Amino acid sequence: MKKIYLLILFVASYSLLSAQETYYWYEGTKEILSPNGTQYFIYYEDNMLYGFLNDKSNTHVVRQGEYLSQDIKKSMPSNARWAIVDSSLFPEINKNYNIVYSTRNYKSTTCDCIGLSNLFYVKLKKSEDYQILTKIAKETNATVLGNDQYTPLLYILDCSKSNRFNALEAANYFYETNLFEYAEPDLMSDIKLSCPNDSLFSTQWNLKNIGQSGGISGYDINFCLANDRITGDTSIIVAVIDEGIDKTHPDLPNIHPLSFHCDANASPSGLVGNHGTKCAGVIGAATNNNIGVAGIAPNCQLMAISSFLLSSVDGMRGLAHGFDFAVNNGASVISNSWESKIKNTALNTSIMNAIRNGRNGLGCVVVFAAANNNDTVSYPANLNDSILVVGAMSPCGERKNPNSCDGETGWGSNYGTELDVVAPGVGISTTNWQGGYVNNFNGTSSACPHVAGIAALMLSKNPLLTQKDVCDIIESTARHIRTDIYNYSNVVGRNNGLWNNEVGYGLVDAYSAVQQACTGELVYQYHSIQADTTISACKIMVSNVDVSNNAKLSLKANQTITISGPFTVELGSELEAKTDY
Amino acid sequence: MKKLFLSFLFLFLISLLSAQETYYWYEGTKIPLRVIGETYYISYEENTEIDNFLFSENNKDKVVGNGVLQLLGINYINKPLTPIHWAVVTKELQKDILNLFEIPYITPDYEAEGGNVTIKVSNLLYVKLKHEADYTLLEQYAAVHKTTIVGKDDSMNDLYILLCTDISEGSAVDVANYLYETGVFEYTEPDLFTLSSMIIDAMPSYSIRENSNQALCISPNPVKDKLTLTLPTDNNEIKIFDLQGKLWLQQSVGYSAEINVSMLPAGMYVLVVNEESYKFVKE
Repeated sequence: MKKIYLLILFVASYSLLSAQETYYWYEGTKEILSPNGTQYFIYYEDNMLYGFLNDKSNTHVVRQGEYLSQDIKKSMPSNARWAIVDSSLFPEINKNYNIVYSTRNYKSTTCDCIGLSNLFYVKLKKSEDYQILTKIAKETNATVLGNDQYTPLLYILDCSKSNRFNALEAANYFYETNLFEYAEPDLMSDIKLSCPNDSLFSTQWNLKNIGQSGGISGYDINFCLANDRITGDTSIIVAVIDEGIDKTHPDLPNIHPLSFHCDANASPSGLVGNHGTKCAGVIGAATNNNIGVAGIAPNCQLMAISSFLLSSVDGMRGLAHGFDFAVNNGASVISNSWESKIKNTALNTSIMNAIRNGRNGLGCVVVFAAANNNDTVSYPANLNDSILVVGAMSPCGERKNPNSCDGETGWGSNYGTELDVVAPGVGISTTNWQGGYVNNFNGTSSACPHVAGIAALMLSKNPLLTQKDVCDIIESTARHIRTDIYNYSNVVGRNNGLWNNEVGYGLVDAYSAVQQACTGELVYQYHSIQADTTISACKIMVSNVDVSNNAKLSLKANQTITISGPFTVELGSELEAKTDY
Repeated sequence: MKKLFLSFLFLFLISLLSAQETYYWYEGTKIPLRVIGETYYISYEENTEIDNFLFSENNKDKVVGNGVLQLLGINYINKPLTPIHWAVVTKELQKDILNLFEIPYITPDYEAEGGNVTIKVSNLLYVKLKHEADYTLLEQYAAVHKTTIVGKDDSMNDLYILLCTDISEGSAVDVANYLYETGVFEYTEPDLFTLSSMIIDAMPSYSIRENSNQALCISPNPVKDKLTLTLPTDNNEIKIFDLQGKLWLQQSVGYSAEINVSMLPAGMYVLVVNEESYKFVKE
């Protein structure tokens, strides 16, 4: 009995071990992999899923595409598509749509994120071995798609219809027959390429959440894609009303020369605490400078409006003057991570003046933190609907509350009718005064500057947006996070999509907001296209157009394309219409 | 006799009640103010005797906040001839002071929504005119209530700052109400404050942050040569910065300490202890 027991134990542990050990073959060596699970690759043929993945409110699609290569295109269905999504999105997709094939990602000893697709490659030893190839393909339920046009012995296979193997396992199977020169899976490494090189970037879950804070991968502001395209413009000034900004900090080179100290009613600003420098870093720390943290709008300028922010005799007038100073000296965005138990009409007047008359009438974007009382939104955040009110999100996509996954029980982000959006607000890495850094900047204080930074990026791209345009775009491009615990619905007075009492319109999305930051409609009509032509605009309206002579008309819009007749594309000619480019 | 006594009692109770409840106007609504009387705001023309009394060994812990009325960002019309000092003191100290000195202006604190801080009122109030020409009306009404128009805000239109003294007919709350209820002005508001921090922060720990004003005691403020500190723990690293962020002093101290600040140039400074910052003025 004992012998049999030991044997079973041996076999069990062996199979357990070999089940854990994942690998692929490269140059005759086994490369070990272990499961990661932060992203999923999916192969699908479902048009409804395509619509879902490309819905504005649904980001966290890391990458997606079709099978464009001529070598394999003809062998795949016309609606074959693939996508790489963050793990936070996968369960919902898996539940509601038809996925033909999916695989999670892996990590190796050198690289944290290795993705697999549905493809793998097999190189024949000689052309006659094609028969063997098709035979093994049948055994594995893999499909031979075609061969490489420059390396005819190299075949591309698809395992999406195989129940037996994923691409890794299929490639191994082929290789281990020893009948082929080599076999390797189609591997892709992490999209870190578009993320910056700042030394503390890996701690910045708020910008790229790979689960590093014990959170859920994907719950971030979609920074890396935004950063790839835009870092802001020096013409856009973000005023920070707080304890001042450390102007000597090496990671804050873009401090505006004008500043103001409310308590002294004079310039320049003072530095009376660490809080303002922390807010400033979130908005505009230098990015890709190999040190410190990455800011959201590093090329925009930071204007320090300082105050002790201690409620005292005749104190509100000074704060009111601070808003006036920012407005009068060209600030476009004003970030406020503070609250007041006392309401003051003079302050209200200055805030509303900034919103209505700032930026020569376009309006300053005034952003306020909702405050941290685990109660309804505080004043002045709740003063007026035109103020952009920001709550704090935990690394797991929840409203930061005493029971959220971060374990900090002492506070919760305010909620209620005035809450507009949420942004990461726990354990944020940022600049600290005296040239330092912290990785524990907390509260709606830290969430608010995220939105100020995004507003600055949007205005950098399009300074003609009104304050209302900016707020509308930020709200309508926000992501509905954690639909498992939050119900988003239509609310009277909330016109920018579905809304929830605890997280507002949802998590802000830097990439989508900047994409939507355009105005203007181009009307393109009465044209006869006979040579390749590209039209780009925010919105395009086309009519009375004829495309002939084998020409291609490319329409590229940020938001919408409307085509009305008469509109003709003659035989041999092409029309391409793309949005969100 | 009994009837007389009862009516006296009745009147007394009424006056007691009305003394406990007042209100102020905000955005056209009456906001109730209920007296708590935990602390009192006092204001007096510069007086070294009163200062010495307030900041003596026995009393300095009972001074919650203090300063000099600076009124920045203002175009003066009637600038006070001598500096006006203010202090917020505990009710015990208030009793003691009133026994010894004539204090021209004193108001209790009021209940705030939420309850963990109280609302203090200074002797300032603000009036916004509907039209520039209404200034003459303001002059008239201010005179009626014996309240001084100190000046005009230098960046906000038609906003005036008024000062109540012992001869004013009522506190800043009362005068603000009288003026608003004339219907002549766009708005009036008394100068309300809490002496608490407006920073929104959430300490990355498992407990709720304490009110920073209770953790540390600094006196006197303003200071001429020696700053006395009473600290919450035995081992504290203190730093003193000026407003430009320059470090002037760094020291390790215990529960209480006397810091020599005579070498500091006159101005505002920040004392930093355990990541918390406190301001003081060096004269």
